[in-house]
Amino acid sequence: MRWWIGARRAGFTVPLALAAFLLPLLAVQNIRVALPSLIGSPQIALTLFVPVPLVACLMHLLESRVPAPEDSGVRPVARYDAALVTAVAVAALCCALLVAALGGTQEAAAAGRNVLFLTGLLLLGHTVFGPSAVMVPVAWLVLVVGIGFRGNVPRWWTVVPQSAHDVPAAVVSLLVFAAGLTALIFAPRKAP
Amino acid sequence: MTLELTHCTYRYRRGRKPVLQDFDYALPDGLSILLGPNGAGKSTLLKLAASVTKPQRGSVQLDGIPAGSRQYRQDVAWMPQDITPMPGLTAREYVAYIGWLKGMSRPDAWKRARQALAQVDLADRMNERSDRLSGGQLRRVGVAGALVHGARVLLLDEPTAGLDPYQRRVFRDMLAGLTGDIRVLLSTHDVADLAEEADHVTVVHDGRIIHHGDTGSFLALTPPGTVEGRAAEGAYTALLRNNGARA
Repeated sequence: MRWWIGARRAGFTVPLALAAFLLPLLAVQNIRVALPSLIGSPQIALTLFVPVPLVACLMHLLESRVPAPEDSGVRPVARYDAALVTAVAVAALCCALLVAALGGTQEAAAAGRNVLFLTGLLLLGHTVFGPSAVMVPVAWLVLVVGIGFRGNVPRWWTVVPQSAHDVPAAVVSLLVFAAGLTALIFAPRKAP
Repeated sequence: MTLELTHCTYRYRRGRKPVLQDFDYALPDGLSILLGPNGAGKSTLLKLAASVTKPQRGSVQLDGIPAGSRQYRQDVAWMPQDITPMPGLTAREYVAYIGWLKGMSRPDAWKRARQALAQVDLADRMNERSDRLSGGQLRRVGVAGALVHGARVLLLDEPTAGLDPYQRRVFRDMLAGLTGDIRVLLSTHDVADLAEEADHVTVVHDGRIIHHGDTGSFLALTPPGTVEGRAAEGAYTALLRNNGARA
């Protein structure tokens, strides 16, 4: 297990991932900006983009592997990876909830939920696109900014800009995250 | 001990021409080399034998044990063309990690890693970070990884690609030093270097076997008048030409 952690460079990447999530979250949790959109010019919370560096770090974690022996070995490495991703995502969620509780902003809590959703998208995309899947969450955010608002109101399917109390968004985030973990465990990774 | 591929068909995408179709192969004793042009199906054959991918049709077995089972995976070691250096692991940790992945306990893997690295003449570099090793050293680490868990079959995919002549010599000496009843299947383009040292030669072209036999029968295909020292190259070229290969 120690070597698996070494191969993933988890000792370095996990703290980096959490710092890359937490510090921008603290910095921008109260900031809203008008971004160019295909439909209007909605005011968007900058916390929408805060999970992106964390998600990129998760991809780096998953790709720091020794493909041949891991793919032809007998240890359930994909399950260890799923456990690691879950631990990081849950830690980020807890950090976000703590920030929300201390600072009183709902955007921070929503950013925590969005970590689950965007990580799920990343993992689902990973089975199809491999390492390039890091662009899938980014593409989702671009799509949301581009066509996901009517005035300042997010459309139902966008998930990420919904308020922290939005139950459907929370449920969808959990489902997408669970689907991503399932794909990570069961879908074969591309052989080198 | 027999590693057999029986009636294997494999295609990378639905609708595409299969890389291997109704392919039969049984790995002989000793060192066997697998020759063939790019895209002939050599790497696919090794991936099927390593059980990292499954044939759409047919079966792969080792003494009746199906590919993909725990026992099969412990008995078969695979070294692909590209060995990924791991900045977070030393050479010894890298090899021990491979042993652990193959089901060894941590103390066993750690102990055997030292021996395997000594076997490939890398004992003095075992505490070096794996990303600081040269290409040749990294390949030997890969071979040590294949040896660490006591596999009965080694599958080596172009292990000498990109090595300089000295590193190739070191690699061949190391290969010659492998003893016991380990069977080795080695895919290569390095015809001249390796064919004459192998016990068996298999030539694959366009997803089918065009020659399978001992080294003597392969070298017997050398056309008359071939320059001395180029017998294996001559035999290989003649075989491909006779089977419609184009430059």
